[in-house]
Amino acid sequence: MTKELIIAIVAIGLLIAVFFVSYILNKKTPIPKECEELKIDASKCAACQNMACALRKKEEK
Amino acid sequence: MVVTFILAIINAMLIQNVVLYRFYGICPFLGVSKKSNEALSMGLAVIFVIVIASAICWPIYHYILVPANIAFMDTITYILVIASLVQLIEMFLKKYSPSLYASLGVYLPLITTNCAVLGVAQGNTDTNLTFGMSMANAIGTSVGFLIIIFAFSCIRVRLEASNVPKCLKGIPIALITAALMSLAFVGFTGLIK
Repeated sequence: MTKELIIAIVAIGLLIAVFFVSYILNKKTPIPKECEELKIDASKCAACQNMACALRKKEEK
Repeated sequence: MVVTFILAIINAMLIQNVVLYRFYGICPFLGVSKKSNEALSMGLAVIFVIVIASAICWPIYHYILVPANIAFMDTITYILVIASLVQLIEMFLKKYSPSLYASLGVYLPLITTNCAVLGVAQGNTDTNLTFGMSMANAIGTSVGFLIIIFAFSCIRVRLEASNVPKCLKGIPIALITAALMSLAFVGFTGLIK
């Protein structure tokens, strides 16, 4: 295994770690009080394919 | 050099417009263009993400993926960068700018699935652009997206008040309008020789 390949694997691993850390930190960051009841337009969610979106899940409930 | 940079921006912004010429980012183009202020907020957020994502993805591709002979991993890497970036922006806005979060909050997750963001990062590396030209392409493309989504939202606001036949109301008339806008933008072809 070459040195460049090891660096690339480490870099991609770091990117994955950055994504998970940012995802967890974002989840833990409290939503500002004035933004808690953001109005969601169902037609806008229909135009988006992001199934993991928290706003979409909220709308589906 | 500066002239080439400016011409590259104009080319990406008007001649090869991301929505009307390359057909990227159609979902937010149709989904978030009912109100002008929402379209403007979406456009500004997309500018930020496209420019930062392009600035990060270019060095990763040229200095990490290509030397390791794993350039085929570019799409996955770019998706990771874009998704992380959107999470960080959302977190930053929640904490430091609740007012901007309130206006953008609903549209922030949409940016992750906006193919214009991935398309620009991918296009920059596929066409072997230099870093400077990549940034020009990113700036031009994202500003082009903002111009089009804002112009389209202004048209849709007027369409709402117009006497449109019942069968064409909503998305059908929006698609016809987009097609006419696309034809109008063909007029920019040949602007730069």
